[in-house]
Amino acid sequence: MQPIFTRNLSGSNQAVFLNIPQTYTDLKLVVSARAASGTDTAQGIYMQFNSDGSAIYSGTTLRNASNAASAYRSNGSNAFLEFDINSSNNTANNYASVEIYIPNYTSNSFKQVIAETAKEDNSSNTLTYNILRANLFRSNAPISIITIGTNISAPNFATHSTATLYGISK
Amino acid sequence: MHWIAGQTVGAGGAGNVVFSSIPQTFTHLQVRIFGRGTTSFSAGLSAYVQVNGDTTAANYTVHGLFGEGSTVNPTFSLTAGTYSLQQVLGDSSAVAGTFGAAVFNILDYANTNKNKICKVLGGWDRNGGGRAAIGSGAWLSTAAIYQVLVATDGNLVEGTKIDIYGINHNPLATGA
Repeated sequence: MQPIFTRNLSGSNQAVFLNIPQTYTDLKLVVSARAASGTDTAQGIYMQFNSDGSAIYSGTTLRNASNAASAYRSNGSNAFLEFDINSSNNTANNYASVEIYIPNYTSNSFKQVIAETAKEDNSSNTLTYNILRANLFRSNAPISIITIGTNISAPNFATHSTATLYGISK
Repeated sequence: MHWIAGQTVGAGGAGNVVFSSIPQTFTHLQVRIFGRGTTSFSAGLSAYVQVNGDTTAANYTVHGLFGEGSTVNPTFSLTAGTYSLQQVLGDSSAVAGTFGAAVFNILDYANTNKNKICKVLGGWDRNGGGRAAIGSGAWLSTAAIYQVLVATDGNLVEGTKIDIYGINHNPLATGA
């Protein structure tokens, strides 16, 4: 697993990874992030591929939120959603851990993406999440651009938020 | 991903396994556990990871979600005393040779601006029982992690294997 790009996210509400090498087998995106705003209880990350904002993103979610288990789907979205991160309402210095696996990203078929999120807080209430999510991007185009950003009220990422894109080879 | 160190529990078992003097030169840390304990509890035994010798219960929070058979259940503890994932390692009542597995990922383990959040995936199956689980934990300290202790309920049995890995970022390329 080789680190391809690392981005300091602080002070912006979006990061775009361009010119992703097409030489690996799989990709993995690792994000340690927190939103600078406390406008919403839960701030999330959205993700798009190839700057494609059409409604070809869907997902199936297994979630522990506020100590309650749930499972649900979202279809026809214009981005992958629900990689929840901490906000300024949460315990100070806690940053969410998000790992997104993108197998076979150069293929000429639809892309399946598996994501795990841990949003910890010193609380049992709605400020905590464990999320496991399967995502489908209904495009045959190889992935060369990945965009991630905050998706609620578009706050900036907090200082020390980072994202690293890794390449995984056979 | 770079292997840092590993330990395999020998004959007679061990109360815990400790990794000290963890290098501060990586970005992220991964603890991989293949384990079984001496306690008899058919649902499975918990995997515990304690850092820097800090046993203060109030310094750790833990949340998780596990599936067992046909049910899904959440779990949490605000005074866990360790990072932990409940009932994902083999117990003494399982058929010999039945272990469980758990992988703890601790991002920015040496970053003194952040509390240390871990994300964990684990599970075990005993041919008619077992659990699959995801979870997370916070060590409410910005101190860098230099020591990791791994334990379960009771002692770790012979054959338990624990490895720690370091993961780097790319300090040069941003992809902008």
